[in-house]
Amino acid sequence: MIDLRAIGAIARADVLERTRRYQYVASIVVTLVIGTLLVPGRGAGYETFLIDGYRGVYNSAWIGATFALLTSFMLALFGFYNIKSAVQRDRETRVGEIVASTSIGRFDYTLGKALSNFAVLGSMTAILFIVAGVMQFVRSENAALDLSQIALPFAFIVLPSIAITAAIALFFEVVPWLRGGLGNVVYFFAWIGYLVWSFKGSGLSVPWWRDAYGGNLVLREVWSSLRSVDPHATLNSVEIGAGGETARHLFVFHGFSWSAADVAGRFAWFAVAVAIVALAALVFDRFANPAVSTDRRSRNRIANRWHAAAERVLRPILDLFFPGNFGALVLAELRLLVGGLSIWWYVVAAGFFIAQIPAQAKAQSIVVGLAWIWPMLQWSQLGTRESVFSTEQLVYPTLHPIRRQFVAQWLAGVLLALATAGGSLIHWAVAGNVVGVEGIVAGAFFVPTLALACGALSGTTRLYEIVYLMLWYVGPMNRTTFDFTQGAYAPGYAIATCILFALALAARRVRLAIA
Amino acid sequence: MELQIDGLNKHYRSVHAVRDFTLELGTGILGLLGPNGAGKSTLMRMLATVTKPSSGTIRLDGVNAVTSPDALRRTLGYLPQDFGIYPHLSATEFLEYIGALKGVPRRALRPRIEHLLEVLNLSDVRSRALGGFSGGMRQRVGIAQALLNDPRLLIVDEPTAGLDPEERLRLRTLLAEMATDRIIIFSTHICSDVESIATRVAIVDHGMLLADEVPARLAPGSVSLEDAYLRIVAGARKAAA
Repeated sequence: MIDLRAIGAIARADVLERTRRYQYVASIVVTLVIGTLLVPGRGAGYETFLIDGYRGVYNSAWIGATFALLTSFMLALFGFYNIKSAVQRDRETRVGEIVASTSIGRFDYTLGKALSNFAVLGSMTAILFIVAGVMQFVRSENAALDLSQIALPFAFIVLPSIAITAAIALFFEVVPWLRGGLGNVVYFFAWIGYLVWSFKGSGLSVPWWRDAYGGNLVLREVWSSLRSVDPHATLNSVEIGAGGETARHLFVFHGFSWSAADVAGRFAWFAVAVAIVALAALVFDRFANPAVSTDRRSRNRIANRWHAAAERVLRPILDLFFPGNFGALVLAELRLLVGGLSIWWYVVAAGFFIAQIPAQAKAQSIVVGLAWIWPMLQWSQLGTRESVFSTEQLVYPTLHPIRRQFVAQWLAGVLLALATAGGSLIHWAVAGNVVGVEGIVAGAFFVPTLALACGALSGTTRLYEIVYLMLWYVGPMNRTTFDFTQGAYAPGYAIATCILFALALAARRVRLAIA
Repeated sequence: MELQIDGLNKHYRSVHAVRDFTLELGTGILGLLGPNGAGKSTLMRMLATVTKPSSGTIRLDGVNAVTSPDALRRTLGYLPQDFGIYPHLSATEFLEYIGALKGVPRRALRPRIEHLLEVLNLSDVRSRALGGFSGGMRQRVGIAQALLNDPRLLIVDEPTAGLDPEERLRLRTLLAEMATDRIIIFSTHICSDVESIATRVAIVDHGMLLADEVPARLAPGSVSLEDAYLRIVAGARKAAA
């Protein structure tokens, strides 16, 4: 039988615990700032929602549609990573063991945690709802505030979307292999894949189950309104998010015409969310498996031999550059970074390495990109390992914890980047292409430095995982100006690396000061 | 009230953590003694229904707790060895949360929390965030949560860890008072903790039950419990070698 009081207690305690952390305050501030950016002024140089050069006049209907669309998408992605810690917290704090000894049912527990996820995302939604109303006055293109035109899209588009995000985040936490960084990667690609499928060949009329985030519904309504203004407008150029194109024309959007089927389709997602929570309850181990990590290293003799061989090669080189036993420290950090990995990890990394050598110049970005997504979960440890494994009290009092240990950790990350992109270095060196080599070297410094800075600033692996995944997707995979493997952008990334490194050092200094 | 443990085993891959453990318990305090890594915590996790045994049964008043754990859970108080807290909740909020999970009726919960905070000397800090608590204070919060539902079966794993001598004495007295009508299983590797209050002592090593006796028989005359414990463990290890 469902115990509503216990479910409420779980959700309440979890919400209180989360909302009293400084990370929550930071995320609310970020939400506020992003909210103001969703309604750019005329000279801002970007738009957040544009169809064929058209943008709606900033009335309540347009602001409601834009905020609903973008809030739904943002919280589905960033919100997921923000809230995916409800069960993990009980594992890490070991409160879970006490919970497991009570008579609380699996479904009650998972539902309570999912409700907490929903409440946290709901609080961000509420902030954005208020910002939406305020921004209409700030931009003052239309001063007539119609709250229902803002509230209904939030209620029908955003709330089901965050319900599904809350449930999926919970599900990812109870499935052992989706719990960590791999799950973050899987979600990123699954989410992008779903969105592409959602819009693909839809003709803007898709069944409700292909539109979890309501994007199609918003686009359909806005498009229908736009067609009545300009029958020649096309859907070939739709911009959602902060694009560089600015509006060529304005039109007046009069709001949604909610049909019963639309509303029912949106609310069906609440039922799907409950079904996902029920599925999670079936999988949930009720903390029966303590976080025991078997000593994989002892089983991984081939990897151990590889480490020993690498040390024999790297040690004299490092000793040449660094006096004392700093080289040994770098190697120790490298061992921490890649130690205990399955032999298959090395096999795949070697495969990418070899593939880079003959790859054509045009394909280099993609091959190096693949080689550099593979060690992402290793880099994400940089700057976070001490807080994740609670070793601050052991590491911080050591000799020069920043100048030696922190820098050694960073260098280990750089060595890993250089090693995994070694095939590309060989490729460009053989071709005599200095710019190509510069691109790889700049990228090899940039990627782990980004990890170090994100880790030192946030204390968790997630910030890096999401920032890097997005940068990786729009950069090497789509060969845009964000491609950090391209020699042409090497100077920019070298500067970015310096800034990030300085940020990382500052963040570590603060942590040392307050530890 | 009777707890029957019959042929309990627990395997973690190649590690046989608990081996053919059989014991029958009535009301009173069982002091569970054993060196580090002896399998005490694994045994307690199974008795607390947190983890399932690989084989064997646990019966409380005849009800199999392995297949039907809820009956035992309703009457259980459990303090794990390494338990956690939510650092941003106050002691009262945390106990309200655990109380709701344990199904303590709302009306009874608040006075019960007040009583336990008083008994465990936490009244003055009831509204402070748990993250700022000392190790001993956290341990007392852990003990409070275990006692919230006035459990008939109380399992406490190393409850005196981090407590100062005065608090240790206070806890021992509290447990001794409670033991008249309930089963208390008290795990430790500090002999003096159980010597004064245990009605029975079980010695465990390598997951096996080596001895199960009243303290007077285990350590007769001038022999201390610690000496008896060391002799039994050393004897068992010698025999195994």
